[in-house]
Order: sequence, then C-alpha cells, then structure tokens
Amino acid sequence: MSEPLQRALDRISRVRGVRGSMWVAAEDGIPVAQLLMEGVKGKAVAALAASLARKVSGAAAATGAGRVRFVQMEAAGGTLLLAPAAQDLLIVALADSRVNVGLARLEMIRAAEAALA
Amino acid sequence: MSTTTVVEAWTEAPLVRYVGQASARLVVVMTPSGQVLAQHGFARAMDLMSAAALGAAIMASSGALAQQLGEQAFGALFHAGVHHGIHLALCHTPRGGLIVLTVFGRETSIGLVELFYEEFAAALKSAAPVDQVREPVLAKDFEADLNRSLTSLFRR
Amino acid sequence: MPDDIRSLTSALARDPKSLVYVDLAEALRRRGQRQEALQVALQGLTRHPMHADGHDCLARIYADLGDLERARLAWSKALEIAPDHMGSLRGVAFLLFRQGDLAAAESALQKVIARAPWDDGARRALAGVRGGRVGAVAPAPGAAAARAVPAPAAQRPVVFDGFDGASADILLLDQRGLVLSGGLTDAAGKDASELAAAALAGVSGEAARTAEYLALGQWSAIVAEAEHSNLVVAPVGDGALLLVRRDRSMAVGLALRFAERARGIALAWLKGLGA
Repeated sequence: MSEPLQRALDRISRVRGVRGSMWVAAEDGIPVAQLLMEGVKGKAVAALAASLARKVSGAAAATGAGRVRFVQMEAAGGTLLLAPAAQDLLIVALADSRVNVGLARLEMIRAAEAALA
Repeated sequence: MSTTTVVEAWTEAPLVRYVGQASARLVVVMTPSGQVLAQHGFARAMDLMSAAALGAAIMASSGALAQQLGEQAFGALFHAGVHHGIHLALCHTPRGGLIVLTVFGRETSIGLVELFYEEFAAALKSAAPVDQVREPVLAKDFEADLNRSLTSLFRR
Repeated sequence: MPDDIRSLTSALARDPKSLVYVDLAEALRRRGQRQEALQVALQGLTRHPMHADGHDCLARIYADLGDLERARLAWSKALEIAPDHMGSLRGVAFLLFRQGDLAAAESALQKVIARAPWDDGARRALAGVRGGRVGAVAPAPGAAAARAVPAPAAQRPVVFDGFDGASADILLLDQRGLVLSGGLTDAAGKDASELAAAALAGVSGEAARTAEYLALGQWSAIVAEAEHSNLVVAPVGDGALLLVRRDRSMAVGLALRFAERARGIALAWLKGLGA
C-alpha cells in the first residue's frame, strides 16, 4: 500500500468512533487499502459504499447540486462517511454513533484532496 | 413471470435472491460438465446452451492452469468489458460442485456481485439436498440430460 | 406463480415469437413485478420492433418506474407506427398533464375522444384538465394509481408553506419516485422535480440496503455536500422520502435541523391523508 494512502487511513482511524477506514475503487466497489477493526466486513463496506456514492452522485446531478464532495449516511446504530477522491477512488469510513463527524470529515476531505493533487 | 427458471427446485429461492441483490442480468448455475440446473435472464435455449458450454470450458481451462501452478483451483474469475462484466466461480454443495456464471452491467459492480455471490454460494450449499449425490454424467447420458434440462427450463 | 402468468409464460416459451409477450408483460406490470415486465417487453420488442402495442406496454412500465422520458419515447414510437393508437394517445395526454402543459394535454385528450367517444375515462380526464382540478384526471393508462395523485408543480398540495424554498428546494416523494408535494427547480428556474424524484428513489433503496447489511440499523438521513449546494435526504413515515436542498452558505448542521422541521411537517401531512 502506498505510504500517503496508508497515512491517511491512520489519521482517519484515530478519530474517536471510527471503526474502520478504507480506500475503495469507486467503479468496481473493491477495497484498495483498508484499516479495519475486528468484525468490520471490508468487502461489504467497499461494495455498498461505492454503490451508495454512485446513487447519491446521480441524485446530486439530477438536483443540480453539482459534484459531490462528502456524504454522510446516519443510521440508528452508526454512520457511514465517504468522500470521492481522484482516479476513481473513494475514501470511506464506518463509524459508531459516538463519532466526531466534524473531525472525521476534515481528515477525509483532506485525504481526498491530497489524492487529487 | 420471473425470468428465473430451474431444473432443480432447491436452487430457485437462492437464485432469485442473488439476482435481486446483485442486480445480475444473466445467471447460469450448472455442473462442471455444463449441464444447467437453473438460469436467470435467458430467453432462448441456444443462448443458454452456449453460455453454459463456454462457462464450463473456461472453468475447466482455468482449473487445468491452476493444477500446473500447484493450486487446487482458482476461487473465482472476473472479466471486465466496456458494458458488461462476467463473474465465474465454482461452489461446493452436497450435490457436487456447481459453476455459477454471472453477467452484469454497469448498474452494479464486481464488488457487489462478489459480495452477494458468497451469500448465494452459502445458500446453495445449505439448500442442496444431502441425500442425492449426483452421479457422474456419462457421455451417452449427457445429451438426454441436456434435452431434459432445456425442456424444463424453457417448458417446450 | 399465478395461473394467468403461468399460462402466459408457457405460451411464450412454446412460441417465443408470438405476440403474447405483451399480455405477459402487462400481467407482470399489474402485479407490480416491473423489472420482470420490463425484461419481457424489451425482449419481445427485439423480435417485433414495429409492434405499437408493445411500445405502448413498454411506456406504461416506464411510467410505473417513474422514468417519464423513456415512457414518452416509447409512446412516441407507438404513435409513429400507429398514429391512432388509443393507449398511446392517452399515455401522451397523461405525460403532458404531468408536465403541466394543460393545453397540449387537452388537445391530446380531445383526439382520444374523437376516436373513441365512449371512453368515459378520457372524458373525465378532459373535464379535469379544463377545470384544472387536482385529482380529477383519470389515472395514467396502466400507470399504478398513487394514493396522492402527482400533479404539475403549480397544482401540488402546499405542504411546506412558509418554509424558505417551499416549491423550489423541498421535495416530498413516495417510494416509487413519484412526487407528492413541494418542488425542485433547476438553475434556469424550470421544474426538475420528477427527474430528481426518480433519482432519489434509488438513493433511498440503496441507503436501506447499506444500513441493513452493515448492521447500522434504520437509516435516518443522508447529507451530501456538493459543489453548488448541500442536500439532505430523509425517510418520512412508511416509504415516503424528503429532499431538502440548501445553499452551500448554510452550515450543514443547520441544514439538518431545517430538514428535520420539514420532515415533521411532511409526516403530519401524510398522517392527515391516511398515508
């Protein structure tokens, strides 16, 4: 795994409440690099996050909102966060309800923008 | 009508669920010799026969290659096209090994197909009747078995 | 498998070239099996590309799926083949009414009545169009009946009265992707509600699946920060969906609170409808 990608995952995973983070090939829904706690199913997170990202991007286009920068899906038992990056990559984080969303978001957008550079 | 049809009833429920979850366009469940047990999405027997024969051949070739490399078998194969992808895998059930060929389009992804294929394989293994191990198909029985399968699948 | 579908399936399997594919597709569509109906219709039309009834059937399926543009194309094709095709004339009238073009809808319905004076449904629809009454239009030919009748932007029920962007940035839709209330406009100020609704229905399904598979429980909101605006999507009651679009200048947290208020209003309205 490339060092910058790994460092990004390390920073995101240190945010309180994050149970796992990964880089995902957006078109294929396959993990490229990941850092997951025990019990987190990486393949499922990657495939479903990529599919959700695609659907949300379609809705954003249909509503004239433009290119999506960050998505947060809140649920009763946790949160899924994702940010599109360059070269058909997504940065994804799975978190529990206690997560510091603001901090996780900042780290993910930073990682996504670094991948764009 | 569901465009899912089966020769062996125990395959139907897992197959219907898999098709819905993975958004697969075409699915064939067959024996390693190419005999079809269930299918989804095919309208013509000829297309189904071709797909089954080719799928079985690809698995046989990759199995031979795996042996040359000292592997028992490759888990799954994936080919990506511009508009479609195919996923080909062997799963083991009490009824013997089964090959599953999945054709999918851009509305889904290989990640989703792989994810739900694993559940499908587990469901087939769980649903397969344990008291009817399939006998090896002899060449002289093959054509009769094939015709029976096609009749059942396309109700001719 | 119901008997009618079983017998139609057998008939088609016996003779894949027969025109029974239309009856089968229609039977599937009426049972709500729209994806299967779509496959049957599309396969039938590859064998019979000049079959007006087939294109009409396909259009009804697309209308049920909320894809009005494809429905329009299919009905146009049917009318190209058979200019007097009654089902397609009604279908086009329905689309025109949905798009708010009442004059064109009236003209289309008049053509239907001219050809079929006994068509009471078309007569009622024409009266409704002339009166401009919401819900007086006959259901789209073959389209699934909605409990709340989708209406053009100017005639949708006013639910979010008093909210900033009530008819331009807040949309309430049902699980099929059909607009219930509110509206969404594009950059040019034109109504983009139906296109947005169709796209959002897909988001809702995907969110539900994702939350279930990842054992996250019931999903409660999706917030998407995008280039031009922020979107909040939230489930409302049993199957409805709310979209709130806010300018990027509004903080995301505030947008979420705003959406929660709108959601409360929408829930109360739906409960009042008995939905």
